[in-house]
Amino acid sequence: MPLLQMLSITKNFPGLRALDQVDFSCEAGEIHCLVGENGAGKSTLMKIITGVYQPDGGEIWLRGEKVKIRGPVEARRLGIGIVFQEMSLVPSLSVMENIFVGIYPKAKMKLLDWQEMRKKTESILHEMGLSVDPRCLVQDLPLAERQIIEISKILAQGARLIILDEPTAALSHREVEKLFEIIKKLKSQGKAVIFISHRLKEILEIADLITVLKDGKKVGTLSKDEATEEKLIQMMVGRQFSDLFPPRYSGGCPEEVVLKVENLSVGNSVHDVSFSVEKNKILGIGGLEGQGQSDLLRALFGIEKIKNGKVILEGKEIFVRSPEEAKRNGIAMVPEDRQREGVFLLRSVRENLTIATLEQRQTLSIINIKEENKELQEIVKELNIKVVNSDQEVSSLSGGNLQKVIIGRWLIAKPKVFILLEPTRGVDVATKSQIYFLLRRLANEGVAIIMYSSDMMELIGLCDQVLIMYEGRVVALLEGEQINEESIMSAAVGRER
Amino acid sequence: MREYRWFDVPVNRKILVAYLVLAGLYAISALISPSFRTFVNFKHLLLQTTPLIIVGVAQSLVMLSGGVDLSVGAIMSLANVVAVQSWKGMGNIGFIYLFLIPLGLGALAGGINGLLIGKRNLPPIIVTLATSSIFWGFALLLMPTPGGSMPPSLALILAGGSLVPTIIFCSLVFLVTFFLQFTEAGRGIYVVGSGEEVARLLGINIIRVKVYTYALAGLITSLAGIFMAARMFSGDPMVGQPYVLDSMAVAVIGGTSVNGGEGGVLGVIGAAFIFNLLNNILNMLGVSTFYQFVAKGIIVIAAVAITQGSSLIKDQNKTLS
Repeated sequence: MPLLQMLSITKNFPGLRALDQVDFSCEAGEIHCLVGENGAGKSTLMKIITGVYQPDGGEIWLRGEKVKIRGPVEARRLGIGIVFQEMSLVPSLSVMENIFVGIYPKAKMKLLDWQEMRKKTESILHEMGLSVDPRCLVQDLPLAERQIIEISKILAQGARLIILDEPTAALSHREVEKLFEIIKKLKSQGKAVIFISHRLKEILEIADLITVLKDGKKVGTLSKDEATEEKLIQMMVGRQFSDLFPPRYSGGCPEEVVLKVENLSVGNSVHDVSFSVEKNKILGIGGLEGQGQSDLLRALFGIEKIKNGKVILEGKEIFVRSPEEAKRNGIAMVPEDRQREGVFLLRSVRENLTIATLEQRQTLSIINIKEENKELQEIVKELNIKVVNSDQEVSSLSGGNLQKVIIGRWLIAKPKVFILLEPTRGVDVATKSQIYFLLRRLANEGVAIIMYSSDMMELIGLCDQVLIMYEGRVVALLEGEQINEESIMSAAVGRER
Repeated sequence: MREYRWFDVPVNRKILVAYLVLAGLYAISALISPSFRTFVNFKHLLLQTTPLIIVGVAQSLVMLSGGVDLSVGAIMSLANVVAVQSWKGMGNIGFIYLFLIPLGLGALAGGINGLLIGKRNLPPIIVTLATSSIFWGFALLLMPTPGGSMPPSLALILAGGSLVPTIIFCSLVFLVTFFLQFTEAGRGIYVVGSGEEVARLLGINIIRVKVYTYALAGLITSLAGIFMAARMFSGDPMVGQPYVLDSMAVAVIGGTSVNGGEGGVLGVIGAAFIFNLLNNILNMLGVSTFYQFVAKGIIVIAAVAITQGSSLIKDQNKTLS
């Protein structure tokens, strides 16, 4: 008998049918992944399980009994726990307090028993393989550890069905492995785990079952043996993997060099790096995480200080000491941490899109609204940004759309060099493809594009040249045919070709 | 990095700063001025600081919940004028009324603050500013000019010597700290102050927490009003005026963050003494009041910079390398 059974769930919103008779079930001791584009209905389905929304149609059965989950508190009582991407921990309090909020162990006269709390927390953390002092403050811990604490928290509250919403989006490979160990342990304890992610490779590694949603309907469920990346993409998007990428540069002869970097060193993380970016070509930077790639690109935009070396743009040497100077020189950048570095969350889409180029539309410091509207309309249409109107808050957009806003903002500025850091992280497959086509179009129009990505397939599919960095140095420069999994991997781990 | 713990109970590290500075200042003043070293001066300092400590505790509680209480001066004054009038003609039982009525009134006033802020989700600054006007209006209504009196024996006990006030503020700080560290209700204040959204997700009743936080603050504040009535041996509707801003400074210097969720009341005693000690020294040295104001302001800025500055560094996600 399955632990959870959702039968024929339907959920309507004004003007949109978010879920259309979706069946979903999960057994105890099963790792079930849920995939689909943004807007396919994954988070709506999860919100129904956790009691945030009520279904308009269908039934939910838990452990063989029909239930109505009226709210998050009831969901918790029924043993359903969810870990969101935005953490629900209290940062200024300790680990142990966070785990036991609301379920504090008490001594006589209802007074909190701190010693007991610490002991219990120690054993929970030990089981999770986390060696953190329970008295540590959550705000001092890195993201990956906080996530494990969140999982501990819902376990302490008695969760038997654990839902993880995009848990690996901001984790390094090692941290992901650790998370997977924990998930497997949960499985062996007979708990059920539902895992929502865009990272197909990871899903194929960990899942027992994979359910694909598309436009509010269930497309199908594949078992571990049946599933392949190709099949999943096809189910999610209706297209082949190879269609996701635009054709690469086909020119043949080397083009004019737009940006040249000579012997660049940045702090302690980048040493003596030289490369050049040719017109109409996309340069990708790859390698293992943390090898200096981000710092290199951030230095080109003026965020990090350049210790040594030269930057030559269109034949002239430039000095980029601040983002302002970078912008003036025609360099644009899309940062890694979308939410924190990329947008003004509380402001509108309009303001976020126009912020980089306000001075272009001003006369006597007064912004020309008509011109602004025109530009806005153009860019929203071009990038296919799903907005109701341009004055809505940017925080209401999905990851993919948010990224389009950030890219769109700099497009209006018509840069000469476009730097992107992990441009499609946390973005659904269909939008990824849109972004790839967009970047290729920009390249064809003469913009020099440099992008850092930890997604190897992305580098292979999109880039004309790939630079691999290891310990702050360039260890390989691959072109054309040379760009394949094998050569990227071997260069990335330090083996010179 | 751990915060300092005493038998696993969370204790804020920042209070050490307050007491170190206090010790330093005390030593300096003892060296500089002979008149400072007298017991009379010490007693005077203690009596002057007691109400500040009490109000500082109340303000700290409110700040911990993520808010601020600008009506402390008004509640204190209201309690003050009610105290000096409520015992009249009641004979011996009057003593009880002298305490119970102002305290009850303070709790009620605070409860009103908490209800408005919690249920309607109105910004605390605006709400308490408004209620400040209202409560002060009532105080002036009851007693337009200073007057009234207190039973002399009681006044002498409360504010005649230095022992009783010390017992009062020490036990207050102890009790409130105990409440904050060992009860679920107390921890609830930290959770709400640290992140209301998170608290809501965790199923905590935010309205209830805010009501009892502000009510408790009001109750404690009225204690200061009663004390002032004993000290001055009369009632004054404007008695609370200097305490509004000072209570906030003392709360912050005592280690409580203005953003909420961090801090406690253990440092309030040290902070209040630093505050008044400064005035005390400058007086002894014959420095004009103008410079005293300037010094006060500088100290507050410095204290805020030191205690709040570190929280800016913490807000970064680190990754395992």
